[in-house]
Amino acid sequence: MFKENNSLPSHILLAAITIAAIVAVPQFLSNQYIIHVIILIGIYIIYSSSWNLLAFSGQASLGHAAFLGLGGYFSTLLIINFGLNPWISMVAGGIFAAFIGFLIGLTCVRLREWFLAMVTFGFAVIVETIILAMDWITQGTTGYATPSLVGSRINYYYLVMVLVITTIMAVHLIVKSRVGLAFSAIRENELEAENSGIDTVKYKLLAFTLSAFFAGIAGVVLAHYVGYISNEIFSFHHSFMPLIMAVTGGLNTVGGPVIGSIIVLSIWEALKIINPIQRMIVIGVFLILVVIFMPRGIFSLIKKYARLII
Amino acid sequence: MIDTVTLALTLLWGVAIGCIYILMAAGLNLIFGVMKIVNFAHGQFLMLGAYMCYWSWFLLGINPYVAVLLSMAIVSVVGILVERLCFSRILGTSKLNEIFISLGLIYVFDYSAVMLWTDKPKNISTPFEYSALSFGIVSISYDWLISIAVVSVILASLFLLLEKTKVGRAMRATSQDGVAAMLMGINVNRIYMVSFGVGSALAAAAGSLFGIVFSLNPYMGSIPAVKAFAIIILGGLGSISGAIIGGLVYGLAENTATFFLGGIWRHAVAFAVLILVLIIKPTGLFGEGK
Repeated sequence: MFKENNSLPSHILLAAITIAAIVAVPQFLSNQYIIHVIILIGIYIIYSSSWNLLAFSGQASLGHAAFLGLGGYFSTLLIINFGLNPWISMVAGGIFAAFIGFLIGLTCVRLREWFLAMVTFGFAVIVETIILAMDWITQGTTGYATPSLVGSRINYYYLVMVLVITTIMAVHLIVKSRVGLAFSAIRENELEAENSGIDTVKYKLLAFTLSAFFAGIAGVVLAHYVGYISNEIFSFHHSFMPLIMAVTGGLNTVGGPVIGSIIVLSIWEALKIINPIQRMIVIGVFLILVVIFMPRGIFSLIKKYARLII
Repeated sequence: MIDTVTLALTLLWGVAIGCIYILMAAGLNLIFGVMKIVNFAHGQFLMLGAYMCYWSWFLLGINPYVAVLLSMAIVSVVGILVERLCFSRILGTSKLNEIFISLGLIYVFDYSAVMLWTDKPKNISTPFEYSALSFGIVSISYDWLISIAVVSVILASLFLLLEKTKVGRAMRATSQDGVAAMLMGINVNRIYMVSFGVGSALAAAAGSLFGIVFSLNPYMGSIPAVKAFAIIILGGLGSISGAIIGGLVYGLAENTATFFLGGIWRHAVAFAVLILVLIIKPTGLFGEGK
């Protein structure tokens, strides 16, 4: 772990290249569609990183769309009903999702594997049902046209890029901190972690809350960028996508969800040439193949070959 | 204020729907008991079974209740293929991999069904469709009654298979201790295949009956699968008789809750039950240990 290249100059260089690339891309690319795809990839990087942060503590969620949707709904409703400043409502959406994540986490911290998967999946269904039942405020299945957050597409591009970098850095810092160590310890062996004095319940709850916060932020941006929100945001597909991305990229790595989001969403967009139903079948087969033949994800391959070259 | 007739009907339906859930839960439990994996895509076998029954009836003109058998046979072959191609390859690795594989299977099965049969709902009609047995003011359709009978026969055969045959004994041995079973000369891999095949066939039977009494659509599998999971948790992992009691209790609870709260809560109730039980006892009501 300590043999990684951690010297400061290389980090600054990497940061400089990233920022230059982010600023340069829209200058050379006038194709609005590609910008659109990059924005979506960015949103999914935030979303799948949030999923992965939870997986870091050994908890796999099948209902992350609950947090995505709650963030989006809360922010939209705040702006529409109270005319709140979009920036405040964006943070509020994340905090609301985190709060619900904390509550859901309370019931989930004692569960593992299939039980946890089923219960998180169930919470997404329950949240959707409640949103539909509260139709006097959420307009049921009709949903809302969401107000724009920053106006033009290029502004969204910069907003998403800033959020992506902030998220990746935040996740990186969390994972490298004592909290991250506790997460890994719980993931590898919960009983031993508890025996060595780690308050597993506290850390698992923390993972839920943090993860829900970032998922909520992703939901806010997605809802405002796409321009409408309805109960469709709670669909199974939205819950499974971050999982597919994190698994493809590589579980339990900070870079995994980033690479996974880029690859899966690119495949997803490229598959638009075939019909949308076949696209779903392809993504299913893709997930199965990744799990069987590349269980540690693409990121592990990249790391392996990068080490060989350098 | 409660209309007693409606309540009586609700309870009767609860038992009937509970029977279909029992088949699902028994199949899931059998696979879990023997292989120690949970197939989240179990509901997709229900969906496939329903469509196989539909095809046998629609294309070949077979009586739907006879088609149940045909559907079970076809789906058990599909189940064995899925076990060989997917699950057997990740046995013994991280538990998360099972979940991921199941999700992949859900995508593949659901959308293959949409391609083959479109997502418009379809109906299977039986010769008894419009006739019902009435007890005074309460009446129940013959389709429901036959379904309950079919479920009973299937469950009885399952018990005979498990208790009286050599394969059944090998399955029970494997579920108690896979390594010891292997040392006793049981071909554990073949037992895995058999269990998965039987489990999928049970789901196919559930699907066929579900298709007969309700209607079919490609996404019909997910929710019953979740309910089957809730039932397993109620009844204890790995116990078939637990699944039967759990199924009946659950069917009644669901229908009563829908009756009092309204239709949109039908599915949320399943999860509320599931979550409540898990909060009280994380390993299930009658489950022992992990």
